[in-house]
Amino acid sequence: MAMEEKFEQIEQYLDESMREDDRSAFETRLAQEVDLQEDLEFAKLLKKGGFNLGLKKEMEVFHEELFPEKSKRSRIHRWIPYAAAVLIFFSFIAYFYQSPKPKTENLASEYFEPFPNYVSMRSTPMDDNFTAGLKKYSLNQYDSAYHYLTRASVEEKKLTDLTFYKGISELALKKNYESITTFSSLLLQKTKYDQQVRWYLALAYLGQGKVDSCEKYLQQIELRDFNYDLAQELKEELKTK
Amino acid sequence: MKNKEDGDIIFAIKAGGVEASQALKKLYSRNYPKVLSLVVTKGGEEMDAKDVFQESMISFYQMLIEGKFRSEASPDTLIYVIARNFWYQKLRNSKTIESLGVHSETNHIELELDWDEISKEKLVRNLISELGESCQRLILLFYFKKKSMEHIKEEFELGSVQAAKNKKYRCMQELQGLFKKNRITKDILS
Repeated sequence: MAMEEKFEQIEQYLDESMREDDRSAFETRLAQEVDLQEDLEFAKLLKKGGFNLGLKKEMEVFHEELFPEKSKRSRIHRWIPYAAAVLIFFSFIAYFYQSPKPKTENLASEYFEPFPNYVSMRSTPMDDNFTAGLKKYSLNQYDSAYHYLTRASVEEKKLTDLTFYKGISELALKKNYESITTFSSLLLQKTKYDQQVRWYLALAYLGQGKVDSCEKYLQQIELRDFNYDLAQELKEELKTK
Repeated sequence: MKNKEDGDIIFAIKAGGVEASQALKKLYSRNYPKVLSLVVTKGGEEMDAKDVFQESMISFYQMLIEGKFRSEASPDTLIYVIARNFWYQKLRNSKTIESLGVHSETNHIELELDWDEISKEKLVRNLISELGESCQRLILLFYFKKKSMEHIKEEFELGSVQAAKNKKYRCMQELQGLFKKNRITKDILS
């Protein structure tokens, strides 16, 4: 019997989807063949391990949402006295030698407006993470939207709409680094959201204080296209700060 | 002691889907701080606590699905007891348990964990993470998300369901090879 066919039989046995007479014949072979016993053991471990890996990844998402800063804080707290001394020293230098920089994070927030959801919801069962994510997005619940859309992206990497709204949820939550990664991947694909992506990328870079990168993407927004006027306004504002 | 909310949580987890995910998240939120406190006060760090807690949640889930969950115990109590067992096992393995003055504590829940089974399953999980990205994705889709081969064929843009099955089989073969190699090494070293 070919190896693939053997594994298919093993999986049917584990799923209890074998016919009665096939199951009896399989169990007779199992009692006699050590190789088959080992393959069965491995298949059981794979079934459990594969599921538990997904469960572990899900719990990593929970942990990040429920206890986001604690793990960083507990390591950082030991360095507070040293960090404070360094900060005070450089604050003096900054006060005497540097002119005030624009509050780019505040500016990014001022210009941020979430893109409306125009994607029609699927009429699929409740466990569709993409639909759940879009529903939360429409209610401006970006934390939950981000949670569902992140999980959906494990299953459906290629959906443009999914990636786009996930990126906006990340930006709404000020996860600038993540949103830059998400939107940059969309830019490579030349999608219908090309101009919108450039606008939101500009805001994400602005949120990180990277004014040059922000301006680069604002330049790329074309006349009469999405948020062209706002892009010009923001460019002017950045010049005057 | 179990209450109505516990009953709802157990029901939701067994039902699967989004409700199961929400129920697990609720358990995660209320039980992680207790396990964190346990591990940190018994010689561990936050990273240890996170790892121990997530492994105990996985064990709890498996016990629930396999029908090994004792209905008179509350999920919170059971998760804590599992986590304590995991942490003490880890301390025993690193031989620091005596220096910490940790003694076996009696509790009203008897728990026997199959450490050999747990370590083999964890090995397979770690080995899956060493496979290529496309094999990992396929395994997660098939075993965690329980997607059909038809869905997997679409996801990977393959020509037929048979092509999807062939791809899955190749991933399994690669994983089984890694598993056997790791087991042989472990036997040689033990």
